[in-house]
Amino acid sequence: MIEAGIYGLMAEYDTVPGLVAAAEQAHEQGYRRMDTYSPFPIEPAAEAIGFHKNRVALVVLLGGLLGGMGGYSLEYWVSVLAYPINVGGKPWHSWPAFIPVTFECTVLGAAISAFIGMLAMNGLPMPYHPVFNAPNFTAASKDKLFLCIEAADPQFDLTKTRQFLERTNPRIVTEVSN
Amino acid sequence: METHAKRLPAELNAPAWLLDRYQSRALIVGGLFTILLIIGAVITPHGYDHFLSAYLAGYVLWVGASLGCMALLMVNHLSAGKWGLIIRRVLESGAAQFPLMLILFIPIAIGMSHLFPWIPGSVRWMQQNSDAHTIMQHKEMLLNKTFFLIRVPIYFFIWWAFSTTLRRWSIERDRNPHGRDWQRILENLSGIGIVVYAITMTFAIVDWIMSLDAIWFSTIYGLIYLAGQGLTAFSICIITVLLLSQEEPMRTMLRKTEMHDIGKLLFAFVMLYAYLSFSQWLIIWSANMPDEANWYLHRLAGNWINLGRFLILFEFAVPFALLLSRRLKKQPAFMVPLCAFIIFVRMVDLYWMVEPNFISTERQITFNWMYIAAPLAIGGFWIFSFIRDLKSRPVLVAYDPQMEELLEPEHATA
Repeated sequence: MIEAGIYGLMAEYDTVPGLVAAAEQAHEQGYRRMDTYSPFPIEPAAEAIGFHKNRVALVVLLGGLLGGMGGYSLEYWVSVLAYPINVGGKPWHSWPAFIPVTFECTVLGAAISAFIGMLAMNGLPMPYHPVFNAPNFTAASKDKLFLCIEAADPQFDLTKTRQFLERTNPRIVTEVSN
Repeated sequence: METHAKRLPAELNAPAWLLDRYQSRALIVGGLFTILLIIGAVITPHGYDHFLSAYLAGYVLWVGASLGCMALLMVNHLSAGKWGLIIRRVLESGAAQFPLMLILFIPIAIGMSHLFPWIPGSVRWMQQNSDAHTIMQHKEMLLNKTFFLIRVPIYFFIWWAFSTTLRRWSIERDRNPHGRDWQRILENLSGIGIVVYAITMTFAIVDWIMSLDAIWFSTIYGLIYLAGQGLTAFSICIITVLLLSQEEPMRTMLRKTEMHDIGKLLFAFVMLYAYLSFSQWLIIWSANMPDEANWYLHRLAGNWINLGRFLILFEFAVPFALLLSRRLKKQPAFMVPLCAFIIFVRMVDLYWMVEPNFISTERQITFNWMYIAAPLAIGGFWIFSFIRDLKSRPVLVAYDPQMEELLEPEHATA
């Protein structure tokens, strides 16, 4: 059930175990569309909300393969088709000489696709995000920890979700407007 | 804030019964193949020559295992890192095998006039032409019998001095953590040691392997062996740690995180080895000078080219593709066979480095069962002595600033 104008419910915690326990409970309750916010990385929290795998690795692999094939093809086109030059009597298709460029292009392709893939999958750049509407959210960059259950979650219910979050001993639970 | 779910086990020695099994097997393999080798060297035709070249390749494989362990130990002291904390005692035991390897050098010293072409009057000297004789005479200051034999104990003394000091300090640090500024003195010794290692190891490899072809030279040759030693040493460490992790104390302390890290380092060495080997090939291929290209021509002729293809495929392509996977790097059932296979491929590689030097006329692949038997015989003794050392000391360090972190819960792996 999606409430108009509501992005989700935000609970604020003081301690890492408090946040991790709340996130674990929320995952147990069946909530999936949620996220945690903290001033430093908390790996157990990522595990608690069921974040296991992403597809950046696959993008990097494809980017690397594409870069490598691109590099080799470029060398082949230049040295064999477009502008063949006799270097030291070696054949035009001298593959050993193409390897360094192929290797570098593989690394370049992989690095660029890692950078762009990471940004794209995080939905960045993102000039506006509703969580910043939550009061006191700037403390997520200083000393407070947050768990936000989003209204887009199929189980989301303004009253019931609020009751659930309040049972997890937060400092405060607030509504986040869109 | 958080309490550790785990505690450092009270007993840091590995259970002896676990290691005993492998130790006795290693001794049986070593003894059995030594007897076979002696019989083979005496009674088969050309047996002594085959024995010597096989022995040399196997010897360099296992002395490389010790050198690799010593170098990685120094790298770990310099760079820190929890991966090294898990394998530190294994590295120290691997680096303790220099006295054994010095004794095992004796057959090479005795048979050297059958191996090296730069010894005037030897069989291989006779096979060279007069141009080669001139070149070899210019190299006589370095490559002569007396100086060659004097250098051997010098190398071993230097390696032994560094490794034994690092080993002693490691144990003393556990007993008296605040007695000295351990971090600083271990770092300083390792910093000097890593430079000395690279130089002395290059000299040793030039002496023992590169001088088998007295004309050819390659300035990257030492680095290729450096990368190969890293591969061998990491493979041995991974196998050992995973076997130890069947029981305490390693069972508690070995996390997937560090397994993953060590797997990544193995992957890095696979790439480094390929990178350096290819660099040598690219430079010699581009220049195409007769003095240098001959080395590759021997290895491209006849069936040798297929062995080269095997090495490209199995020392680089296959391990590279497999180790790309994050899941497989954390999988003991996968890593143990892969590491065993890498040690096998290192053995094939050294055969490929050594053996084509000896067949100047036919340029055809020569295979003799002793090429397998010699590395197994030396490896049997190496592993026996390695395990004996492993049993005599705790397999984990008790005191290190990072040891606490190993007890923390695993990270989520995103």
